[in-house]
Amino acid sequence: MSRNQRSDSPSSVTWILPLLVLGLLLASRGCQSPGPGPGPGPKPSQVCLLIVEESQQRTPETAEILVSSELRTWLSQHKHLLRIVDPDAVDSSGNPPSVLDPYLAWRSAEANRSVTLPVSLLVRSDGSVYLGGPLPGSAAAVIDWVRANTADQAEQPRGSR
Amino acid sequence: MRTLAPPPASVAWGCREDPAPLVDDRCRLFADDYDPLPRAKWKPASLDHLIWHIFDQADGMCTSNAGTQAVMGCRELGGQERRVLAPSTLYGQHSRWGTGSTLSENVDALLKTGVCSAGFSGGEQPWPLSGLPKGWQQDAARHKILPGHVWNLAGQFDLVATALQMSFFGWIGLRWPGGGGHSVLCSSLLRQGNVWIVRGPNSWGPTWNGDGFFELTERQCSSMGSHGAFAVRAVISS
Repeated sequence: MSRNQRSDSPSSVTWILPLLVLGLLLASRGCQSPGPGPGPGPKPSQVCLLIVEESQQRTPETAEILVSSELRTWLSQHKHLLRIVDPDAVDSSGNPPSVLDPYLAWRSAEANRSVTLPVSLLVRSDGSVYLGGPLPGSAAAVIDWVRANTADQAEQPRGSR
Repeated sequence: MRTLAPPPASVAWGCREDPAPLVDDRCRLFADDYDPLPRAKWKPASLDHLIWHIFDQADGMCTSNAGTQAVMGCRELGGQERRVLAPSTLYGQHSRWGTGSTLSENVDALLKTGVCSAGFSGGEQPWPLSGLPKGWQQDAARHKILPGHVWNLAGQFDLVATALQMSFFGWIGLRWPGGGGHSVLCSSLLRQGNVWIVRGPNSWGPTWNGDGFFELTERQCSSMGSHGAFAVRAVISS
């Protein structure tokens, strides 16, 4: 091996280490808490629609979305789950429930800290967040948002699976 | 109108008058956080589709059945696992057989201890509590109201109507004309002409009046007289 091919030369280490750290940082952020855009990877086919709201400040408009039969039926027909939870919810041990984990990870990203509640997140089956943002303004708009950001198996062309 | 009527022989138990309605840091006055919606802006609202089970209460336990129904309704709203709960395990924490109970006694018990699942306790209306399996408190702790997540509605119809339009279940107590009282959960606000009606699951079995649901006009509520009202907005996640 020539001197030029050595990977442990001082100059290589100087460049590689920061790149490695940056890569790891980006990978972990992408997996757990994407910014305003969708997370990496293909659109998920089945998600949990996680709505985090401060119920003490609920408005009639938000209330209509939360209990919408149209939304619940559509989610059920497309095999998606729905969870609605307060940010200060606790489990029987007094700790934040695991259902809040995706929200807390998403919230830790700088770009998401200023988003005001209520928010809606599309959570993959492994608990990672694919996409999150302010709760759309109506049940129909929520359905459109979920539809646009999931790979709807029912709407795939025949023979594609 | 599938209204409520008192039992054939009016009795002194059921939902008892609340001498000191609960108001503290765990249970604030609704009016401190919300103004009642102006009637001109009222719209019908329904949480009926979140009711998936109707109880058949034991003697005098209506208030505990309505409160347990509220916990189950909040679980359904939040997308939690469906779990039938056992109202008598709430009632037995504060009252003896046949005495009835107040709304505040039940709210307090749901904040402190919770209510057992029917699966754990061996039925929906097990009695007495001394017959429950050991560790029932741990099971009940999974079905509590979150402190600070219940409001006192001060027995006012306007506030019950406002709470329903905010998608909060209203839990009310009413006085029978001949004495005693009854408690139910309100899951809908309906309108017929100029008349506003509350509707919800009664606790007299799933086939009572066809589907187990009562309806009461505002006038009927006021003529019966109030034994209090609360709105539950969130419960423990489990």
